[in-house]
Parts: sequence; C-alpha cells; structure tokens
Amino acid sequence: MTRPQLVARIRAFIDGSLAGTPVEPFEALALDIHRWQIERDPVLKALTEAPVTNLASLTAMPVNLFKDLPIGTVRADEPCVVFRTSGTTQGRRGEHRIRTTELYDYGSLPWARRHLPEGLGNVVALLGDPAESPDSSLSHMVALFPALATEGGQVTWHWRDGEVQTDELHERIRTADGPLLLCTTAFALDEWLRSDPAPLPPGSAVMVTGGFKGRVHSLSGADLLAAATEKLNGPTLVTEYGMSELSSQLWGTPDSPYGPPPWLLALAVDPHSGRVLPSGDEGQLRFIDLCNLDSSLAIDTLDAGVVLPDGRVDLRGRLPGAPARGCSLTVEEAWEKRA
Amino acid sequence: MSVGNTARWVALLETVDPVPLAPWLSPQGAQAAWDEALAPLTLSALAALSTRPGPPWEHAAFVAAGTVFTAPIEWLAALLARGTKVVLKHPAGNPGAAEVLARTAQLCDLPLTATGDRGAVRAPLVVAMGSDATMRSLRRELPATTRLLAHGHRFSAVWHTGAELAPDPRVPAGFASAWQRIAADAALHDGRGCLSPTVVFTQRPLAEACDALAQAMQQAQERWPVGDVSPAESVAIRTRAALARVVGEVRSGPGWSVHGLPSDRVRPAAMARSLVVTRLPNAAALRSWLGPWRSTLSTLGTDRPDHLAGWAEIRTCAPGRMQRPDLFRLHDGVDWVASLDRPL
Repeated sequence: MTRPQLVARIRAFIDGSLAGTPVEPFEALALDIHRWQIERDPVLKALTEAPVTNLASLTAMPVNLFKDLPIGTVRADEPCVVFRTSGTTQGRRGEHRIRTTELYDYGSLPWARRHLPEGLGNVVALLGDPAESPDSSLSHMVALFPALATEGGQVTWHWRDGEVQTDELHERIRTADGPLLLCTTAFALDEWLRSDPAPLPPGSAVMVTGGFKGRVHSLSGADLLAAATEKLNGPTLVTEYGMSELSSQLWGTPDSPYGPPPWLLALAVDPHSGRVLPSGDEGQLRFIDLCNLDSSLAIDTLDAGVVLPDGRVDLRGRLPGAPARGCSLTVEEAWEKRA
Repeated sequence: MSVGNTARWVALLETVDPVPLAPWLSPQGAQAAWDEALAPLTLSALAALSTRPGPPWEHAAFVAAGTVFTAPIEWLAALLARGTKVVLKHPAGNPGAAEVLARTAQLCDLPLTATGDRGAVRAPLVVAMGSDATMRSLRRELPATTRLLAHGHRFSAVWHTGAELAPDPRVPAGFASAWQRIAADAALHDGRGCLSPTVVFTQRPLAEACDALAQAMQQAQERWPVGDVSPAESVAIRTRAALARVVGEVRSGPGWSVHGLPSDRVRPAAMARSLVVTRLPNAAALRSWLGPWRSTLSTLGTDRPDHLAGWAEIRTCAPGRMQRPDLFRLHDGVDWVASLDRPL
C-alpha cells in the first residue's frame, strides 16, 4: 500500500460517508493506515508491542509525546507543514508534522459546512493571521472558510499584538453588507464582549473553540455564550473541538454534544490502563482520525468525556489535574503579560 | 509553658489515626508519613526550636498545600512552641490534617485554628506552601508589611555514585542499600512532595540502575502500597513510559514505574511512585545539568555531598533521609527555623 493509494482511499471514504454510503468499513481502512504508519514511524513501531487486529488494539500516541519526539512518517529532511500547540510559557510545544494539508482541508471544509448556516463565508476571525502564524492549525482551518460562501467569501484577522483589534473589528462589522461568521477562541470572545462590541448583522453565526479554562483564568461557558447571544444580536452559536495533533474536527452547539465526522472515531479509554471503555462510560478521550495519515492515526488526549452510542462526544473538560491547553492559552498569556 | 504544651500536642498527635486525614494515600502510606513527621519533634528539639533571639511573632498564618498533609506540622510546632498564635489555612474542600491539628492543639491550650477561608490569612507573618501561582497571588493580596515566606514549586533529585552509605537509624529497616533508600524516599507521600526524589542521576549503566531501582520500588510497594493515582497522573506516567520505551528503559510493576532516559530528555516532574533514572559521567556533568534548575531544586539526596559543596544553597542528605529530614536544615535554600524569627 502506497501513500497515494491510502490518500485515494481516505478521500473516497470521506466522499462516501458524507453521501451516506461509505465505500469500505472504517476499521479496515484504519488498520491499513496504522500498519502503513508502523512501517514508517520508528516511534510508533517502538510503541507497538503486539499485532494490531482491531480498533481497540491500535497504538494510540499520547498527545504530550508530540512535545518530546518527532511523531509520524515524515522524515526530518522532508518538506512538510508543521502545526504547533498553543502557549509558549511552558516551554516545549507539540509539533504535528504532515506532508501536506490536502487531507486536512478535504475533510475539514465539508464537515464545517454541515454545522454552519448555509453560505456563510464572510469571516471575521479573532485569531492570528495564518500569514503570521503559519503553525496555527486553527487559523489554517478558518482560512478555508471563505470557500463556504455562496459567493465572494473572505476572511479578516483581528487578533494581533496580543489583543483583539477592537477598532478595526467594529468597523469591519459596521460596514458588513451581510451576515458574518465570527470565529474565535473562548478567551478572545470574552475580551471582545467586554469591549462594548458592535452587534453582528442578522443571520450571523459565532464559532467558539479553544476551551474555557486557562492556566490562571476560568470562564463559565454558559455565561460567555449567553453574553454572546445578548450582545451580538442573537447569532447562531456553534462550538468546535479541534487539536493541533488532529486533522479533523468535531462540531456541536451549546446544547448538543460534539459530533465527529465519519472519518474520526472517538473512544473513551481508562486513563490508568489505556483500555477502551464501554460506550457511555466517562474516560480519557482517544481519537482515531483517518486524515492523520502522515502522523499518528490514534491520539490519546488529556480531555475527559463520554462517547455516546451514536458516536457523539459529551466533553467533560480536562482530565482532573491535567494542565491547561488549547488555543485560548495564547490569549491568556497575552492577558498575563498585560496584567 | 508553650514548649511543654507543644510536647503534649505532639504526644497527642502520636495517638491520632492519620488514615482518614489522607485518604489519597494507602493506610500504610499515611501512617508512615505521619510517623516520620512527628519523629523529630522530641522535647529537646522543641526546646531548641523555641530558643531563638528576640520576641516571637504574636500572630502568624500558615497556608498549606494539598499534597503533603504533614508538611505544616513542624512549622506549627516551631511557632506554637514560641508562643505564636497561628491560623492554619487549608485548601478549600481538602482540610487534610488541618482540623485535627487545630482541635488537638486547642486541647493542649495551644492557639491554633484551622480554616478554609483565604480571607483569614491576615497576619504579620505568613508561611505558605503551594503552587507558584498561589505564591504570586498571595504576594499580590497581602499587605507589603507582611513577612511572607513563600515556598512554591520545588523538586528534589538524587546523585548516586555507588559510594558507601553510613547506617542511619531513621532509614526504614530493610532498606539499607542506596537503591532501597531511594525507593523509601519515593514511597513516602507517594512521591508527590517537594522533598521526594523525582530524578535519579547515577554513574552506573542505565539498565543496571533501572533494574536495581525497580527491585527496590517493588519492595517499597509491598511495604507501603501506593494510594490513589489521579487520571492525569496516570496519563503523565504512561506518556513518560512511552518516551522511555522509545529512547531508554522502562521497568514497572503494580503501582510503580522506573523510566530510564538519556539526560537530555529528563525534565523534573513529580509523579506518583514513578522515578526517572539517567546516567551522568561525573559531578561536573551533574552540576551542568542542574544549572538551569538551581533555583527550583529543593533537596539533593546523595552518597557524595562533597560533589556539590559550595555549588548552591540547597539541602543535601543521604538517600533515605530526603523525606525524613532533620529539623535544623535548609528548606528551599533557607534556614527555615531562623526564617521564623521576628526581625529585631
């Protein structure tokens, strides 16, 4: 099995599953990807002790290991795209190395489309411009969203120099000639809401991501989203869960669990043993992401949650005692510098 | 009078069942931690603690952390023996030993009260243990006139050369070898305290050292079984084990693990009954490695204290005594007994 062959199978799986007719079982493709990775990734090979025969026996990569070792099939001398974890004050950042963003883009865009109001491709992002932050997977994803527009989509970036650029954001919203999609981390949204924000045009939506708890600060998700509804003219609220180490994302709403795309399987595992738990049990979240072809198919996160029988994820936050992470940390670090 | 009452208090504490005070430890682990905390507080030691220049503080507050439930005892004993009234602030929702310490002290006519209310931390002398974030926050909150003895995040390590160790009556029986002593240090408080070894630097070959320490860790587990390990701790241990499996050595058993790593991969992190072992060729390499961590190193357990003589104001002791310290010592680089003196 070659990489182009696997890419073709993954694309076909995405196409088929979006159309409601998967072309092959998830497990068969996952196991082929995993075996292909074992042959090419010395780290994965060293960690795989027994033959992999099913999804439960896949070797999952601890997410923090991305800070210590070059994970994946991309050799050090090969050109690649690198996404890095947020936050710099704790020193090491995890590195997710992929050859290209082809699969990332191929899956991310249609799954976002499923969860956003139709045709909403004029984006205001309380995020760093990917031209300045090329290692931000979140900015990379949001940069894809103008393609969601029925016509003429564009994105403008309003997080710079450690703060939300409120004046230019007010102006951008004030002069908008149609609904907007505001993409933001929870902490940046909090900062924006505290600045007497301009209401969004009717029909707009807000995508919130990045976690509500930082190293020092903690936000109430319910309060923040209620404030967004009140101050931003009642936009549609959607929530997004992603990680630098994943190539696919989960989407939800404030009132519903996160839904993974068909090419991303969520499992809850026992954090002490790593064994897969029955559906409905709370545990450490593990994701099996078919689009992570170049890195590691299975990732063990530091988040806790319940995987519902329909595959959706009821996120319960960080594992007790786990350090904070997520895109909100970038904002929190800026807050700390200002304080 | 205060010394006598404090001695009565210590005697009363010796009759307390510590198991309910630290439900996260095994019963054997909680008892061992309790016994070791009280052992140095003899009448003569209390007298020495109270005999200090100048008048004592009238009031003091002690802010306790949630991990080492016995940590306040010696500090409280020193203050109470001098006649200082003390408020013991425990973490909200985790009183640990605080309420028992206060109740028994009051039975001995000692002015100690316990509270979970941070607002009660108002005294001219505040001793605090906890995270660096807690220390920063206290500095912001307390008046500038408050003398704050802030003991934030620290770690401890071992330097093992193979030199002979002198017998020591405070080292647990059956744990005479260096590796056994290290394991005994790692077992107390399940390795979570700032005096617990987190890293073992050794001159021995890595695999040999890991084997020897693993055997001792198993012995310690049988003597003092590990208590509860949080999900995040388990994940951190599994993550480091994965790293060690790729670039080093892994040994593990029920409740314990030993991770052999190259020295450039080692980062100090307290994990429940989990130690990193790394090989260094000599004391110069040790000093070089420790250099960036100098300000956060609490204790170095070693069979060659001369190797770090004059290098930094840190506590050195023999393995086996890292968690069983002398009363009169450096704590986080300062003479803690003298630090409680009121400036003249």
